Amino acid sequence: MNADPRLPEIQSVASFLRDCLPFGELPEDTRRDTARRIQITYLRKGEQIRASSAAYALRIVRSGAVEIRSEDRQLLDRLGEGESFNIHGLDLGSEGVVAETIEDTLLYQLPRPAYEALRAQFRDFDRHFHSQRNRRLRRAARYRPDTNLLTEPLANLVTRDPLALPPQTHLQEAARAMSERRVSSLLVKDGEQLLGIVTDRDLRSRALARGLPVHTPIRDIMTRDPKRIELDASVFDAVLAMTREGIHHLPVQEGGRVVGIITSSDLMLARENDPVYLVQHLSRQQDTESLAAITASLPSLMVQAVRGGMRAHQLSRVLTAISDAATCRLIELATEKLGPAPVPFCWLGFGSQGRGEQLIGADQDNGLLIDNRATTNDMDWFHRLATFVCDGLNACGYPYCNGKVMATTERWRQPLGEWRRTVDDWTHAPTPEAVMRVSIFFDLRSIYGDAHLCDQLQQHMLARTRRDTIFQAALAANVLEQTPPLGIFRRFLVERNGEHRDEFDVKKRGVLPIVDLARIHALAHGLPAVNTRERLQQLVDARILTIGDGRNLQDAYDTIQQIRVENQCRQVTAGHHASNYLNPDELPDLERKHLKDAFTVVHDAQEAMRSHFRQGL
Amino acid sequence: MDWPALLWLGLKRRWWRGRARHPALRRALTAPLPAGDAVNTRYVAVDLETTGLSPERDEIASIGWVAIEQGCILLETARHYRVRLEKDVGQSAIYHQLTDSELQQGEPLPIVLARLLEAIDGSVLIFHNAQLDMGFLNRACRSLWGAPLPVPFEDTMQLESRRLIRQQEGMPAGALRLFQCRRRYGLPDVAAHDALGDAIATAELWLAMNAGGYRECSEQ
Repeated sequence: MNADPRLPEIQSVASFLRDCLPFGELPEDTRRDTARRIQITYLRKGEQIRASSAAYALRIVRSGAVEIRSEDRQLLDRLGEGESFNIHGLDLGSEGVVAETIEDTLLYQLPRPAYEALRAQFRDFDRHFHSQRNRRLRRAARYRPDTNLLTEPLANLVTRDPLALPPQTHLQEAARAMSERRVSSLLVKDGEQLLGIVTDRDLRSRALARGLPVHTPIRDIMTRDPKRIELDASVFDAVLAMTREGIHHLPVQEGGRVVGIITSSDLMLARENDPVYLVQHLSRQQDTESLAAITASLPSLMVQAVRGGMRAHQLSRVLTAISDAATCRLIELATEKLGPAPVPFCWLGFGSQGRGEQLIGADQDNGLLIDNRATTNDMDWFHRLATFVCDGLNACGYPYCNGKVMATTERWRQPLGEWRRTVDDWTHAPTPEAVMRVSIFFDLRSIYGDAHLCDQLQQHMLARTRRDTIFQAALAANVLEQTPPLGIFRRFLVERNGEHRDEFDVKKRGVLPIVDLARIHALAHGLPAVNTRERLQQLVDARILTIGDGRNLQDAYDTIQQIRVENQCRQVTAGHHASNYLNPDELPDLERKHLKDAFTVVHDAQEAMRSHFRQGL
Repeated sequence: MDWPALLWLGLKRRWWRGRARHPALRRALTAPLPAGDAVNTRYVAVDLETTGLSPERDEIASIGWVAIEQGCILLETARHYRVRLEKDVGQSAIYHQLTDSELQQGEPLPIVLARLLEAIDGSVLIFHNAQLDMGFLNRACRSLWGAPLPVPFEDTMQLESRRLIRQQEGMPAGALRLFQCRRRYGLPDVAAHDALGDAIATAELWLAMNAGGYRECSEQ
């Protein structure tokens, strides 16, 4: 009890405010004073508050729920317990904003003088109400304490001033220089121009093993025109490049000029036990069982990586690289068993694998693109390949696709010519239902084999989708069907019963709408990117989306994916399977708020698209 | 309040007005009775903590109150007084988590009571279980100043009891306790349990029971 009975501590109100944004960050005694200024009202369901008639005050929902709608009845926001609004502030940009109680609601009002005094005195408090929704969202997406080394710039680990010798240098001389400098590689340079690279291994296998004389010039054993990496790339990029190419040394360039070198041991020293190394590990396994034994550890690795600060978009790249590696290894194992492929082919990844956005628990979506010269007999070989690989993937924790989008299905295992006809069929007379079934096809990427085949198919596809407005409209209609669950903060938009009661599917309702939006715009404008972030970037670069819209969508995408990943980590930690279902009540306040902001961005973008593609509908 | 009750109350007030020995009490009995228009009536929700259930034997340990104007609870008007006890606290201290020494820091009952009478001037009181609290207030006023406190009041517990009977809903044990009643109106649980917290909780329940058209808290 407070010492002064005339200024009592109102415990129940003060402790409620402590859990509300942004009151929680106010000093204790300020919050206590604020509690004494509150006025409490109770509104029945369906009552309205308008700036024109209501007193100027900050209103905090104590219990119940309130919807904010624009003059033309568009839903702007939905507020639950602990969330607050200032109807006059909302009304500034657009006249006629109305707040309506959608349940019986107990409302705390902070009158204007007290509200404005707080905003004047506390910057964060002011910013919370001042900043636009999008800005709040952007901060959430961008700002995270980042302890993960993988995201660090490469620059910190690069060896500057690497050993460089001219191409005519003799082998022995080169070996001596390398020993003196205690390095495992040297760059072969003609003046400023990088010609090649020579490593310890090259000296062994290309020189000593072949018995080359010691005065042979290093030009004869160097690897010509080696792969390079930019100085401003991240450690992650470097690791990925090395594991993909199976190399250990990467010249580092800045503005086209080689400034250093990075080696796998530099990276290893900096970081061990990382999921990225699984990629390499996978490619050494000799059968499906040992592959599956490795992929079984993915959920716990995900938890580790996310705890280490890895962001969702990095994690999905790593997980995609891992499933790519598993696929490639399975194809190699199949080829060892079935004999070499009779004609060139390309293994295609669709959907999240195609986009490089896979997470734990993704099912497999794949297909086979085969050279036109294949005979009926050859096609039989590919059927057996598909069966081996798809069974293997299933064993590795990438379950069979419900929609049968798999290389084992005849329609998804065709020579290039047939594929083109199939694409023509899909785009020519599209039904919404058919469009939905095949939409993931348009996110295709070559996983293994002859990437040129994939390019040809993609070019054909883009040429078709780009000019066909009827197809675009069908795709748009399909996209607009799945709207974000904007009401999730209350009970109504979650599942009402069944296994996922009180939850919603954050992938289906949150991630896919953005993926769909990016895809349809990319297809309509013939952009080749398939990764959602890259698509959004290309759309901005091509001035199809404004910078603001593009960024907002990307932030929304990152935010939702991040919350989805963290939710999966919680599920795995609790001993459950990772799923895409999420109970919004279990989210911390701030995440709930960010998720809502993100959904609002998606909603707005969908509305914009509705009018854009309307002519074809 | 129906008019016979109001008439009876008016008569009682006139009878006791001359006998009240304290100006605050006299004023409380002189103030005009509310006209019966709920929106324009001022209400004060009051809750007492007592050392027991008997107004004759037990004492008031603390009093909390808050006013409702125009359908709006004004926390600025909230007050919370501890009362200095004459006797020791006995068993109920465990329940109210107050100790004797804490209560010795309170103010004398006459001072606290005078403050309450000033605050309720012309208002209708609201209690949850008025019989108990009014019993203590009548007893205190009478023994201190020679007259009880015949003021108009409402009782959320009685209102809820009548509603449950009318709607023939069952009334299990504890159904009429303040926080059980609040739950039936969808009001949130609150952890704090003191005289002021309960007075505010009662005021909210009263608003929920009487919610009608949108009521505006006046601008300051």
